[in-house]
Amino acid sequence: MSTLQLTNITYQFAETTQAIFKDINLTFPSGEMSLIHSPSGSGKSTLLKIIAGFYPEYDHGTLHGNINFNQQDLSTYEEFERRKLITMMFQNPSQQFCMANAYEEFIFTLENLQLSHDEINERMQKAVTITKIASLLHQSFTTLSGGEKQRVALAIIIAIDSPVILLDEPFANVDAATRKQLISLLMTLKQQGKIIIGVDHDLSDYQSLCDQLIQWDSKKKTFVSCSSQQKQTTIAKYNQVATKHCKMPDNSSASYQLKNFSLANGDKELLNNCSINLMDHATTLISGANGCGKSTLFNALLKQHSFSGEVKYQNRPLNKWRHRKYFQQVGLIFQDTNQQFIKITVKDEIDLSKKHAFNDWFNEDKINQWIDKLGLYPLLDRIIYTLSQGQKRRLQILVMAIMGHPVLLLDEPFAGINQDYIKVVVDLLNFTKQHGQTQFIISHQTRGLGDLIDYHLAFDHQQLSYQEVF
Amino acid sequence: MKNTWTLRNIILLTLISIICGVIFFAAGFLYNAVSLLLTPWGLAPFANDALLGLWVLAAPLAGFIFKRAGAPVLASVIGSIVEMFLGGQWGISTIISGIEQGIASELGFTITGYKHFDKLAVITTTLSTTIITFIWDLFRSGYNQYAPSLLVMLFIVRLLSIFILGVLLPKLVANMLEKSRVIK
Amino acid sequence: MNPVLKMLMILIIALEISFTLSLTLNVVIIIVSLGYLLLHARLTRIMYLVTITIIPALGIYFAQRIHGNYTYAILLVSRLYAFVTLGGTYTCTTSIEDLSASLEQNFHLPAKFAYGVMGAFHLVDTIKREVKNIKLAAAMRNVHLTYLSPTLYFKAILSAMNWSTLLAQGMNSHLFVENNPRSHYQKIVIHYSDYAILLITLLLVQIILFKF
Ligand SMILES: Nc1ncnc2c1ncn2[C@@H]1O[C@H](COP(=O)(O)OP(=O)(O)OP(=O)(O)O)[C@@H](O)[C@H]1O
Ligand SMILES: Nc1ncnc2c1ncn2[C@@H]1O[C@H](COP(=O)(O)OP(=O)(O)OP(=O)(O)O)[C@@H](O)[C@H]1O
Ligand SMILES: [Mg+2]
Ligand SMILES: [Mg+2]
Repeated sequence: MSTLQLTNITYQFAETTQAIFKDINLTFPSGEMSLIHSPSGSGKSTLLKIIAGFYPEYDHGTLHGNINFNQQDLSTYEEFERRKLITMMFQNPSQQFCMANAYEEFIFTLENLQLSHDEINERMQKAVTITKIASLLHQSFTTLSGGEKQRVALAIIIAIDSPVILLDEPFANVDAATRKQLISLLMTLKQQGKIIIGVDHDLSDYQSLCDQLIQWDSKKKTFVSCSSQQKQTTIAKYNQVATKHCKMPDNSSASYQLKNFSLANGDKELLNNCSINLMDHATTLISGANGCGKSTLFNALLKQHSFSGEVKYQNRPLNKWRHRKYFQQVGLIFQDTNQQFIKITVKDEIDLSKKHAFNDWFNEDKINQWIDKLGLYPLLDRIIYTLSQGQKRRLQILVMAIMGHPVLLLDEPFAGINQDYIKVVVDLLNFTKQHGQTQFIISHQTRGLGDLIDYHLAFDHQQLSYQEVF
Repeated sequence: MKNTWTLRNIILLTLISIICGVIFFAAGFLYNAVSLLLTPWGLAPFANDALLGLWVLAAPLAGFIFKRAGAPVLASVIGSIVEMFLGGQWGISTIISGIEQGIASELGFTITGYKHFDKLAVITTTLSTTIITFIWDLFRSGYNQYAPSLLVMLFIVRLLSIFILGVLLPKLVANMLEKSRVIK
Repeated sequence: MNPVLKMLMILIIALEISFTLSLTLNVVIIIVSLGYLLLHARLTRIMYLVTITIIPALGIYFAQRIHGNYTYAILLVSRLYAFVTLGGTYTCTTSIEDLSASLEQNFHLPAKFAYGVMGAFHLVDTIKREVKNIKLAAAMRNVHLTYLSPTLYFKAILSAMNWSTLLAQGMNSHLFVENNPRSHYQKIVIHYSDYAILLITLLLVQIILFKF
């Protein structure tokens, strides 16, 4: 039986004064799945990248301690041997592809593994079948939806078939049904004797899969494995699914009116002749399976994607709205966080919003309060690219909230942030809603949103329909 | 930065040339507009010389960012190959120009022994790029048939364009990047 | 034909016509290239190439007519069209993937160059979308960027720096290790006929150049 063992791992980023974690001691036996569940920004992605051998090489930080595989120190491995031993799925899957589509990416990867033509075909075939991505194989990566990209990324990891697999929030953009499927897939990998280390903020469905739950000890600044009792109770909390009732639309005013609205992406039809009103001064949750067209719908509402039929915003057809005027009305939280920012540091980014806000819902004090509640204070001078995924997400929501758009579209705003911060974000969105903001939220993650959601719009079978529960 | 071409630096260099390639491509449209305006007076070559700065900027930009021998030539060549595949309007001559312009501005850095990436390099690169590309166009674009007065004017316009758009602008961008602490 | 040899052939021809004054050669190149394009490229693409070149062609023509030399005007216009059609014959049948695969397999270009460049090339669409999104994100913050705003390019370069670090790691994670041997799914071989075509074509070009 093989094991991966971390001894006294301490890591400090370049140009910082403190280690982000100290003396991590963890053991990962084969045939077991370990799950790291800790607050955003505690260092999960960093730890995985250290194990996978990307840091300190790409970051020039300082690393102390040892990582052993079967008692042999990984630093004595040849680079290629080490990469073959440990593969990692990144938090942002678009950053992991270098070719044009999945098919070419498989070939590139398996060529690196020095397999022959036939072996490549065989491995690719197998991985494609068990992850059910055959229909995505030749589609350009740039056109895949968020969840589809994550599935492809996982498929490639499976084709590599390494003994140790690291997964950084592999299901952040995946819908509930696919999530269940993929988790059972991980179960088979585990039974094959692999070492799996995952990161997830949402622990539902992990009950039987997870063998070791790893949490953050903020006093000692280290990751610790918790007792099986603790593990049970923590995971159990996520298994209670509470359905919430929500309102059905009445005749109150609509922000958007869609009439005979049809939407397509390339040759894929997404919405077919749909007529519906989207409610004003309320929060509407939009749910639907991966790739059903939610992000594309937002793009259409933002005049970034063509459609047929009619869309009116505030009783005025969309094409009558001038570009500049329109984006004073409607703001978007991008699914891909990096797209949101136009400045370099956190502080500049917040200042820009302060200076340019369309509505003064926030005064100086209020802004400072929210900076604090969202845990952004210590980060003010940081370059945005070095923030963790969840930190970027929180900053992104704050700077857009400050802008005070009458309508805010949010594409997966809760992906990658933990429950405590979800609560803060919900409060923040309730605050702007009280000032009259209309919100539309695409989210696969619905836990903890009870206080926020007024309406639920389901995107299914190329139609949109209001639901009584979510 | 380390002294070899690492995978990361190769990717970065290519990305920078691609961004420049997109600028070349866009400059092609601008060129067409200006050139069309000037055609009735037979002054279309001024469109070429006035915009030349935009076409050559990949090489100095790479020079100022990477501060390393070979970067200007590579950036210029890769940028031109990409432009050709993106469907730029000059066909195969894009690549030839890419090689020629890359060498021209690389020479400006070579003269300083790759020791200077400051004002001196701005001057030497501007001069080397202007002079070499001008000599090239004397033959390739038939400039040697033009009246001397026109030639002098063209030379001055080209010098200014290369100085402002082709070398100074990239230098400022590189300075901004350095200030933002993202270049280590 | 092998992508690298073909590139070499076209480059040599282009270089020769840059510095020689044979109208005949230019015209032959245009006719042969157009013939090739008709067989291999879509008509819209050919029309695009031919029409878009009219503008610079007119520019050169009138500049030479008014300030230069009439025979030169014709010569330069034919040279321009030769460049464009010649380039077209390359890009319509050969992709950048073919070119770099052959450079890697047949000409010992280090794989890190072949795949580094290719990885970056595949980001073109992403970058285009990113530039569009930067403008959109900025408009939502009441900052209005145009294609002439330095901020746009500064930001684009900044995200290029970020992408380059991430993509390099992404490639490593898919087991790409600098200077490590790789296998090849599709083997590219250079046939003797490729060399023959190269030599014969170049020979023909010389004959036209010096005999006509
Ligand atoms: N280059 C850097 N310099 C300084 N600090 C950094 C750098 N990169 C990351 N950090 C900080 O290190 C901490 C850990 O980041 P990491 O991305 O590992 O967090 P995480 O636990 O994965 O968070 P999330 O759940 O939000 O993804 C964060 O506070 C982050 O801001
Ligand atoms: N050019 C194209 N040709 C065919 N299909 C396309 C094209 N571009 C996008 N698609 C498909 O359109 C669908 C809609 O994508 P979109 O990003 O809107 O999905 P989504 O509902 O936001 O999914 P997710 O929850 O995974 O983010 C996806 O299945 C995508 O693969
Ligand atoms: Mg993370
Ligand atoms: Mg989406």
